[in-house]
Amino acid sequence: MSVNKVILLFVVKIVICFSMLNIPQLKMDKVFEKYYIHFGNKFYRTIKSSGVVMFKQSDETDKLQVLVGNKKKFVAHGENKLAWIKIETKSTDFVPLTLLLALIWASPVSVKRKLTGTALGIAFFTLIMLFKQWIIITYICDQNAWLELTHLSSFQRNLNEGMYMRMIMPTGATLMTVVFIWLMVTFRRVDVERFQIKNGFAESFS
Amino acid sequence: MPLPTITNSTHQVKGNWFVRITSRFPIAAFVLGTAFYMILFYAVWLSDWYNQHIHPHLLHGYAWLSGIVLNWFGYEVTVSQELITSSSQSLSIARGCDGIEAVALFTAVMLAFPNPLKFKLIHLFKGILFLVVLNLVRIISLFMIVSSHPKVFDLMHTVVWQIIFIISALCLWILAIYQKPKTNAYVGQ
Repeated sequence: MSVNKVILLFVVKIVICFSMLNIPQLKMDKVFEKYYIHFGNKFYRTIKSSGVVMFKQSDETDKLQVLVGNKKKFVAHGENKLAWIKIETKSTDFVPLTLLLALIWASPVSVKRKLTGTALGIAFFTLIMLFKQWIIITYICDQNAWLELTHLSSFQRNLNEGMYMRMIMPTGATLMTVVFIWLMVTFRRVDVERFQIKNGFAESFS
Repeated sequence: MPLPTITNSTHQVKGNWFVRITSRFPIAAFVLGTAFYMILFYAVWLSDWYNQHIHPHLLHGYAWLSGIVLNWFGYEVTVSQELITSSSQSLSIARGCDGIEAVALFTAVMLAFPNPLKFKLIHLFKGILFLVVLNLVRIISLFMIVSSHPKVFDLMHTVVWQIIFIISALCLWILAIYQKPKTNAYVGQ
């Protein structure tokens, strides 16, 4: 098969898999929201000694709410004052995850490898998702100094803000990350060797 | 054409420690190499220097070129900085709409894949040119969509075009690595 046909087939498979996962009737994005909330609450229920975090569905469609509070402040003010923001996980997390799955399933590897890749891919993606949630929580704490949960230096504050505004909220950086995950979980050394032999590359990695 | 010398995983590759490690773990070496270039990119991309000296000019360049093409199509637009305005609507080219991340990804995978430098540079030039043109098509199409089908604008903007860009960058890379370099001098490239 020519290179153009290989690429065309790969692209067609990606489009089919990606479109199927994004069919609104399947409501996969809602399933993902539950997954996102479950892991967020499981890992970040408490931060430091007195901080509490809660991920929950927002009253707005397609949005989640991240709430952060300080138990000590509850006592001091006699009311449960919480800092919160609304986030939209569909474009920033769900779409990259579906792209990752589409890339894995469209790759020219065995079914066994695809299944392993899917499991590993979801595991790696979950780690990235947890990291992003941590950045969001840190951002909320930093923007609401009255919570007294974080004391960031100016460098840490700039880094956190920069990551939140330019890498966590936009989709681009997560889409880049899933490409790395795809490469790591789908291909093996043997694929590189096969590619080199098939195409007459001699010791291209040496 | 010399025969391939790596035939199984037990093959012993001669060379320094870097060469030995990269041939023992080619995927990890490639992924780490790409990650290194991407981290470098994000460090520059997030810096004040980039945001003050490069970013505004890049956005203005895209807006200016898009404005020229949109005027050819009879949209009668004016361009001010990164804003494209017509009598009925306006479109601001924001951060992330410059396609720079896809360009960076393509550059990173090309640089991390072991090929001769000249080969990499030629394909980098062709690929980046393609992605820049594709981004112009994206901006122009989004301007047309916002005036004719505003309901699908968000979907096209945040999902469809983003995915098209990533897949295009990957396909360009696959196409490039399938093009055989004329020499086998890969060492140290």
